[in-house]
Amino acid sequence: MKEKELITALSEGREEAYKELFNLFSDRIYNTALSVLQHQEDAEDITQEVFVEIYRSVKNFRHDASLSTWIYKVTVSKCTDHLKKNKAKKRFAFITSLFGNDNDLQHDKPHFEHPGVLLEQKEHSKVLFFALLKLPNNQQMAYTLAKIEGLSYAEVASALGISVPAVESLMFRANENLRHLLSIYYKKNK
Amino acid sequence: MIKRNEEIIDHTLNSITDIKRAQASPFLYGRAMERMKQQLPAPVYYTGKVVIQFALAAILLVSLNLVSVRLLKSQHKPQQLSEEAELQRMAQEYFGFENNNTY
Repeated sequence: MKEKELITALSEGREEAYKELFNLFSDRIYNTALSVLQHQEDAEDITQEVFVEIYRSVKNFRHDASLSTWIYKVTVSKCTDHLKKNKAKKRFAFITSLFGNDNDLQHDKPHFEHPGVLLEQKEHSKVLFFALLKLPNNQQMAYTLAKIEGLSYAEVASALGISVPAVESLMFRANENLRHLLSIYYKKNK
Repeated sequence: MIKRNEEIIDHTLNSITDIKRAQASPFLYGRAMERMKQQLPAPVYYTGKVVIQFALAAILLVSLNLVSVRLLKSQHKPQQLSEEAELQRMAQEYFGFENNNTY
């Protein structure tokens, strides 16, 4: 099914179109969400939410962008909302920990193993994913889409709704910040 | 020492160079479809019992209507007297007696 036909079939609510959409995009959505959130259940939840959002708003889809760009946009938006909620939760956990509550600060050490990483790179990638969590959201998104999802800067720009030079700038700052965070980490954990 | 640190950082940054895409669980489709269906307004399901009740009510309504139409028609219909009763009525009206003759 071509993209236009697929969109028409989706807006008609045909189930086989959703099946095809799922086959085409579920791994991309799940991989993006998993790399950003670093939590399997949350990533699955986001994947489902993205499909529900597509189902809800496919009738309003404008053909000025490709279907994949639109899907990445929805995924990024859902992940950003989730990250904001997570950060608020962490702040609350930190404050309660100051007052003697036994709540441990979650994710205060490298913990996440991406299933697609080569075995010999597992330990280093854990540290990298840990550092990625410390980046500002927009840098983390740009880095994830470009380096893990393998999108071009133009595709990242479309997904984030910014210009290509803005993506280049985000990537430069993300690299700088990661280097800084990693040097601190390795100094502490010799 | 600094060089060693830079090497480790480079190695860490390159650790995702050949990363493969994580695959979504095949069961996720079913769950996503379930969620999508929940977004739709809930369809109204009629059980067999309800259908039978509706059918009986409809039959009752139609029969009541038919009966009332027949009753109304019969009320407006001129009374048809038998021939003998008609003669009796005429005899009484014109001659003031009852016609007891049998022909």
